[in-house]
Amino acid sequence: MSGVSIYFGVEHPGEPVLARIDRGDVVLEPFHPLVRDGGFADVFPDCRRYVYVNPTTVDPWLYDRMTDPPPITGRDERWDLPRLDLDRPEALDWAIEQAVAAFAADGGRSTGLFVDDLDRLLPERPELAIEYLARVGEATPVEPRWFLNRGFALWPLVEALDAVLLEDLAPDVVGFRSVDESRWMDEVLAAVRGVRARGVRVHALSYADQPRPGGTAADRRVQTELAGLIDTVTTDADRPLNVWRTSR
Amino acid sequence: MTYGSPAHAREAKRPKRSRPARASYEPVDVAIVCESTYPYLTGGLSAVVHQIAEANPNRRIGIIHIAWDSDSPMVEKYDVPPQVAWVMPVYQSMREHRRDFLDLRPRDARLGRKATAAVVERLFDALDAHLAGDDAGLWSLYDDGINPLTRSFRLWPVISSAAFMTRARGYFARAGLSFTAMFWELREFFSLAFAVTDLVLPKATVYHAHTTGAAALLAATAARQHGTHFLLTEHNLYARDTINHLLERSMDTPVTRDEWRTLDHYRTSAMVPEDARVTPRQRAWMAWWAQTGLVAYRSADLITYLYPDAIEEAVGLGGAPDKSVVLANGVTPSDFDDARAVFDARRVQTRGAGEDRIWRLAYAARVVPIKGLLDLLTALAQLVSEGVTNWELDVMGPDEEMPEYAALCRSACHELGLDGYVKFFGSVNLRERFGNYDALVLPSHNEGQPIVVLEAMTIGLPTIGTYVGGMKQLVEDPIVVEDAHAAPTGVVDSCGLLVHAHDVDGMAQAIKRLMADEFLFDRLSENARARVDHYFHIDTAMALYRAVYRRFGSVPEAEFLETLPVPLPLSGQPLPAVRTPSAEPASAPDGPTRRAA
Repeated sequence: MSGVSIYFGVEHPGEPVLARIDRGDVVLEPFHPLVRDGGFADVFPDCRRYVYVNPTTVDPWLYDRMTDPPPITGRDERWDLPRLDLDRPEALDWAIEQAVAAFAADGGRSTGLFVDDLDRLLPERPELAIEYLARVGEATPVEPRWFLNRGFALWPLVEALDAVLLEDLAPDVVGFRSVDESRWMDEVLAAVRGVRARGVRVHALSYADQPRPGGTAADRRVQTELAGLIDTVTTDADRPLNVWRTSR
Repeated sequence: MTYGSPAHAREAKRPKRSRPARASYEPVDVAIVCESTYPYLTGGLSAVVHQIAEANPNRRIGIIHIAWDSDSPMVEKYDVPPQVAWVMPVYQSMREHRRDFLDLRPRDARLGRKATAAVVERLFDALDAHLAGDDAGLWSLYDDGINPLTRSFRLWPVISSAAFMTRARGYFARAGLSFTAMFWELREFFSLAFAVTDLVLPKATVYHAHTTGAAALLAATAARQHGTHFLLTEHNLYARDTINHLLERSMDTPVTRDEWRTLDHYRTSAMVPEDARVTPRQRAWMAWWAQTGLVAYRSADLITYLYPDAIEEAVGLGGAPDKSVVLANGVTPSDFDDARAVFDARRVQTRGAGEDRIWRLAYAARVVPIKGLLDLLTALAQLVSEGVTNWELDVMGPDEEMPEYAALCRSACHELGLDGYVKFFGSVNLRERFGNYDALVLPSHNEGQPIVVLEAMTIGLPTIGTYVGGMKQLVEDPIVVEDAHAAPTGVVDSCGLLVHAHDVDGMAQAIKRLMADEFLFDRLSENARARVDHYFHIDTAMALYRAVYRRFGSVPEAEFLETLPVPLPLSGQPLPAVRTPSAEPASAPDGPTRRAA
């Protein structure tokens, strides 16, 4: 598998994108025409398609038009997304319904679901993350394969794990300033080693466009090992969400 | 088949237990004899024994469990049904028989010098007669010198005598063993024989041994002890598999009864194959397994095999086709209702999808060389090179047995450009997972009648496999369906595509053919379920076992009116003829058929 593309718009990809991702993972939102209307295999004949879902947010465009919106805690600062109030059961129920509907959007022909923001439930609310994945899996008529963004502690628990995304963890930019950060990175590396041994595809995504300057010998050791474990890297500085881009 | 939490074993409804030792064991209708399996270990053979136990509620059943020693697992892994009256442990290790075997001295035979010499001569005469095809001398020696109910002297102290060792030195002179090595090997063999023959066994109408080896030896002596019957079921060819394992040879290598005399050089099937020479010790053990197997074949009243080809292969080991029948494994379709529902939902979704579909292929077996995973990976790399990429393979099965091979498979994925296409799941509950797949791929170099294929068939998965063991019968041979009056009403054809073992290109083409032909997929899938419903059904298999038990006089009143779903040539009817293997496996539709009600 040669690449990954995570796209949040409704446009069809242009030739450069198609050329760079002839065999890879493509993440689309459920309302993308290639999901909603079909034709994905004509555009990406050798790719796997995953539908984007998020157990912690509501699409802002959708939220503003809902007459009976799910409970939220407010909007986050970085992305301006309405965040679900997961202390209330109806919020999780709503997120699960959305995921099941998303997987059914193309008649169940998608390979699986890309689950974003799992880290927001960890480490404080792992039971919610597990419940979310389990209930979505039970509610879909066939098993979705999973493409998880981070949520490292959950990876060993997810049997049908196809791919993972290391958001903000591209090898060039990792570096650690504290013992706690180093220990955390050791845990991440162990998780990545574990999924690699299972044949799971590992993609990295960075929002920084320059390699981190300097760094210690320990940083370089981590960078080298991480680079050896990763299939693709996408560098996505100043990222507009609705622009097609792929891993390099 | 499952790994980790076995699908064969029902979920525990009560805490598992180990049974207390008993002073005596009451008579039973059927004594099932097996080695290191039911009810303390899980696996395919244990699953079948559990099915038999469950399917005979009107019979009193005993389990004679042969284990190595008293440290072996003794916690029940199954909900043993109440008709199982007892589980009797029998230990093989010499340390369990210190007083009765290890500590014996020649004087304990209480025979004079001349009588000892006469017993020694009688023993070697019996061995000569056995090698010439007559076991009467061995059985006579059993009656007079071993059987605790009939013996007039004890044979075991005699083997420590100078007369025995002197005679043995000459008799085994060509074996190539030093005197000391010969002494210890013979002592090992005699101790194994002692463990399963020198005891008073509970009375049973039928002793049903599962596989040759220790289980068959015990069942044969028990039937002799009580004048009842010995039924042998060969799930695999024990002597062949044990000898091939000993020599580290490919498990599909045919073994003959005389090979221990004739084989000298051979090639191993290790990860790096080597030319090897049979050592004297290996030769001795080959002889032990081949000849004890012969004793079992000769003394069994009936031998059942899982598939027809096994009868033919057993002939080479001294099997007895004139008293052999095929009695296939069965599966319970209702156990797979949930998986069927998932499979059906997936079929509805993928119908008409054409290339807009990722084919999910399941490899469900241990990750060891004999299962042929490297062949499959090479075949899949061929597909990728041909531009066929709309598939993924999940490797499900334990990989701890040969970690170096598992590592080789993982690195092969990378080197063959299969990163992302192949996932290693490890041990999973197949009963839960199987519905998510489109086909089972089993590239094995050796199989018996794999339960995993039966389970896949039950759900509706076509099987892509190899012509090994009972696979042809399971997957390919046509099954004639008959009505209640034995009139044929139809034929159920193949439920999969088979290629020869190691045929990488054939495997790739078979997978491609299945993925390219939706009509073929539908037909194979429907046939898979129909084959289970009409032949490989648990009710059919268990009715046949009950019919065999009835033949040997175990006839519970409740079974008198039972209709046999598949005619079995028993009770005085002629036994089935051994068919000639078809020269060309691909021409199976013209080949022999199986009958089903």
